Amino acid sequence: MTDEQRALAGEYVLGTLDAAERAEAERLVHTDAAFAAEVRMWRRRLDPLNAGIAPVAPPPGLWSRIEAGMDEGPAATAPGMVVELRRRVGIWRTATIAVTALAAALALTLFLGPQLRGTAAEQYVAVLDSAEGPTAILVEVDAGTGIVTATSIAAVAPADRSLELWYIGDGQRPRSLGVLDAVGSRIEVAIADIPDFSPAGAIFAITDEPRGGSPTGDPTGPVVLVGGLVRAL
Amino acid sequence: MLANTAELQRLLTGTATGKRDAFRSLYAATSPKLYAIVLRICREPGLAQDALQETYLKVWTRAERFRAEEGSPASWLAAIARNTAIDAVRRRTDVALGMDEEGKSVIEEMAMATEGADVIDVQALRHCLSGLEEKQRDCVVLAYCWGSSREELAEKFDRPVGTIKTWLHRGLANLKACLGAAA
Repeated sequence: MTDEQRALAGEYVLGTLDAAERAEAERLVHTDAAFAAEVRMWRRRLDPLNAGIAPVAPPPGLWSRIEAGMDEGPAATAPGMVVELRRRVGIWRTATIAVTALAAALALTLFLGPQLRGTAAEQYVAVLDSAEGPTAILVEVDAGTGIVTATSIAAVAPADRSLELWYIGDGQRPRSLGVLDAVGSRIEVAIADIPDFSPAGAIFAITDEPRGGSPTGDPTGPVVLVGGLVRAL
Repeated sequence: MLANTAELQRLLTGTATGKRDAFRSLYAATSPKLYAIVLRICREPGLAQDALQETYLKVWTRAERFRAEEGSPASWLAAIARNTAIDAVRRRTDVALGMDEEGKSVIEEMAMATEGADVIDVQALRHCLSGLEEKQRDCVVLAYCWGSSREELAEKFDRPVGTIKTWLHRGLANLKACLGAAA
């Protein structure tokens, strides 16, 4: 691990990274065992900073709000098919939580089957996944048709917010590809419209942004999902 | 106030299998601590309550992902609460910055810790934080406890963001060297 990656792991736990750095850290947590161990070390070592804080009772009404949220959840508003897909993604995810992003993406490729197989042109896939929340977005890059497609398979934007998709080329600043608000929504972008696009080392990330997308053109909100691109079989 | 590790582990296992009574007991046992953590970062009760609600809904859906080798149940819960609160304040631009906090007060506070964390770990971190240069220590502690961003720290210390980044990196590297030696 480089000194830079060590600092990245420490700042990731502190919470001081910007969106692009955080996307890189999330990618490394999923793909690099030494980096993941460094993150665990910092979580454990800094945890005593929470030890001395004096407890404060939350207001009595908060439990009923939580209880209401337990029943609602995003699943209740999604159509049956999507709930089923969400469940399958959940099972897939629990089963592969410890494996590399490559193996995880291959598992999903097999699971999605015919959609991705049977063509000669180069195809790539990224599963945007997070260590938190039951959410996932699938990004497919088809060099044959020249199209990048992102589909929300189990990700819902919070109220009055949008989920914005970013392409982060190796060593580049994030570039917005559009917003994906509801489960089932889809973005299609021509590869030709993404300057300097290269599948090698590419990362896709989803950030939580004001409705309609980031007002500045750069990510402003936290990264909720992130994934690297791998070659599909 | 905070139940012991074995008890929390039992409640978390119950929560993972969808037992509402276990989840409710987990909430009763841990929410005052988590609310304090979230409130320190959010500063505003409304925002902190939203963040605490989000925290427990995450715990409800993810309890089965807790792994004992990654730390104690209390530290796992605290990590989810901290991350949720930091995300909540980063989304908002109208939350007043806390400019008067100092890292030293937290180190003093840690001396009073009697529950939750391992006493040896607490003492090791106190010792190593006390040995850091003041600016490095304040940056690390303010970022961790108050969720300060690099930009907020730059404003507080009246230095460029790049300098803050350097302080954070040196602080973390020195802390790691000291903790490694103490372990």
